Amino acid sequence: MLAVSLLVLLLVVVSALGVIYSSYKSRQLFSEVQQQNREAMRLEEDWGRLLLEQSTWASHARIERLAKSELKMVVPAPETIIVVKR
Amino acid sequence: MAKVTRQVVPAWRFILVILLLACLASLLIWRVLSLQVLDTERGHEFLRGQGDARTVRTEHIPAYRGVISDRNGEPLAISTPVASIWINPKHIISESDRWAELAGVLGMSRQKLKEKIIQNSRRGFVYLRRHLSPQLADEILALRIKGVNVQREYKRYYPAGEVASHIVGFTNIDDQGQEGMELAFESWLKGESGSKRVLKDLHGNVFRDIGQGVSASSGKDLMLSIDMRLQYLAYRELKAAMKRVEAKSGSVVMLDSQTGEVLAMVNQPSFNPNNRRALKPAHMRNRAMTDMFEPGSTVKPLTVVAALESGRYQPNTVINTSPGYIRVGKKTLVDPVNYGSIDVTSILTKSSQVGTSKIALDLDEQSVWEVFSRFGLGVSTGSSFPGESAGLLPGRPNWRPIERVNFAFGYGLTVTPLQLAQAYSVFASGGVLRPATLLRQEQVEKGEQIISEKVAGQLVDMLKTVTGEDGTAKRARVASYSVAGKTGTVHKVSDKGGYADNRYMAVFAGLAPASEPRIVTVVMIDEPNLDKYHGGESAAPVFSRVVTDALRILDVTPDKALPVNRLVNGKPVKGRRKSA
Repeated sequence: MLAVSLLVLLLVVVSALGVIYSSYKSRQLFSEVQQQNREAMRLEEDWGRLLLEQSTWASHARIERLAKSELKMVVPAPETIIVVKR
Repeated sequence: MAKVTRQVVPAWRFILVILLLACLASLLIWRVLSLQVLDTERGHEFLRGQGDARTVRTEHIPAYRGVISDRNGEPLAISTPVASIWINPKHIISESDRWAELAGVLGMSRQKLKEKIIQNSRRGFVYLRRHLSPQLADEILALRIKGVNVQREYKRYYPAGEVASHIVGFTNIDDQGQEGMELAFESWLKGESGSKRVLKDLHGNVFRDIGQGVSASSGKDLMLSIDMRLQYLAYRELKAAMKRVEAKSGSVVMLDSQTGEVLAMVNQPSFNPNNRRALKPAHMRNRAMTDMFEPGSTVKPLTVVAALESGRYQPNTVINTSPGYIRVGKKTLVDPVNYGSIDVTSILTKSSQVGTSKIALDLDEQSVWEVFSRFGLGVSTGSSFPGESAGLLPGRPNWRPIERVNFAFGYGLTVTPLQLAQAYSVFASGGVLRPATLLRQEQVEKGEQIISEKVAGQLVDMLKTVTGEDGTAKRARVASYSVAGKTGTVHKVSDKGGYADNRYMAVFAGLAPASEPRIVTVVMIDEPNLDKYHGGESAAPVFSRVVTDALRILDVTPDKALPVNRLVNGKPVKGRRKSA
């Protein structure tokens, strides 16, 4: 009888510790999830910002202006074009 | 030492005390029961509800709106996360010592903030600032002022700005489509916003996610058929032309003649969707799809289709247009000069009114109308674009001669520039009509063969002469490529009724390269100044510029014999510093 009682007591203590551990773990994981969510949000912001930045720098108007003014590029006149392969 | 006297305590006193104690105990038990177990009015359910009301919060998770991109994946509309600050005036009203601090971070004047709080002091939710950068929002949250909250949202940016604004459209501040493709594909783009239930502490910090709720699902991406390189090109040239001819408005539409996809569609005036403060409604119209105009001479090729199909005419059938005018009913129709006896091809080349009228009067009463309707005039293109108009193609059982003649050269019906481009794509694709679409197509639509390949080929050959030496549109020529097309100069309807003598629309519709058409382009210019009102003078040069560069960008092999090889000792002759 006593042995059974002791066993049950032990099991109760073990399960109690288990509850403590799992709720601790869950809190820890939750805060990690929150952190990851924030990180995801931040990366999404970055992505959007970079995409905008890219499209600003690579806008056709700007490229054309730079090609003409800084690189002195011109569209070849038709009579200077030689078709190599049809 | 005092003597302790003992008295006999009556038994009823014990009983009284015990009873009283028992009473108290049972009261306590009753109270506990009523709070925790029994289903009373202010029992456990009520208490749990009150507890939840103070800690459990449902957080709204905004859905990410799909990206709109061009056919090569270049973004045209993207969402970026932003934060909106809202306040609960009932709470913040007691924090007046911290208002200055908040105003400082927000960059608002203290007076303004104070007014806003006091004016709304009876409310529970007021936006303070919308669409701030998330960093700034974090700074504001870090102040930990009671009653100040942040709401995560998305804001739409349009990298292409005014170049593609008419097609792409825009969303309102709540991320709902308002115009253009943003509106047409609202449910496709928007996604489902989600929610989650969380526990919050006194300061509003989330400390546990209860996990019940719906996760947000992002909207789907949308790939348009337009090619930003061509779109930009068309925009640049149209804008320059608008300035040159001092026109009121204008549109350019470019179709891929093999698939019916819209490669470029631009309008002037335009607007910048990223800054809509000074937005005028007239600037928002996608004129290439919403504005109808009488197509004028640009539908003469369709009349010629009716003529060829009747079997009575061939491209070289000669028609006598002398003496350069013709009386139909009460009206006299004139050519600029007496062209004499010319063939059907030359009627298109010179855009002869008299010749067209004679053909129209000779044909079956309904046949011209029937061809127009087969080419999709009077019917919406089915692009589902908001506000697209279908044009007008009035049919009637009995035509008076003047009506038939007017119809044959493009008066008495209206089209949109897109419809005109779609109609011309029939010539370019060997007689197949494919509905014009703004979405990138994975497979080529089969389309419908509406005229024979032979007639389509004949028309292209005839339209090639328009840009030839005798044609009305020499200025539509494109170096190294052959071009087929037709000009149109249309009198505008006057406010007083009838046609105005001095207000015109100039149109040019054409396809290139004529030997193996790849693109169909329509240029429409509304009220060019009077020196250059003719379609061949104001619209054709735009066509030429846009198509020259577009064919180069699309890497189309030149089909015109190039001038002499100007290689000198293996080195090209110093090229001109100008594009042709």
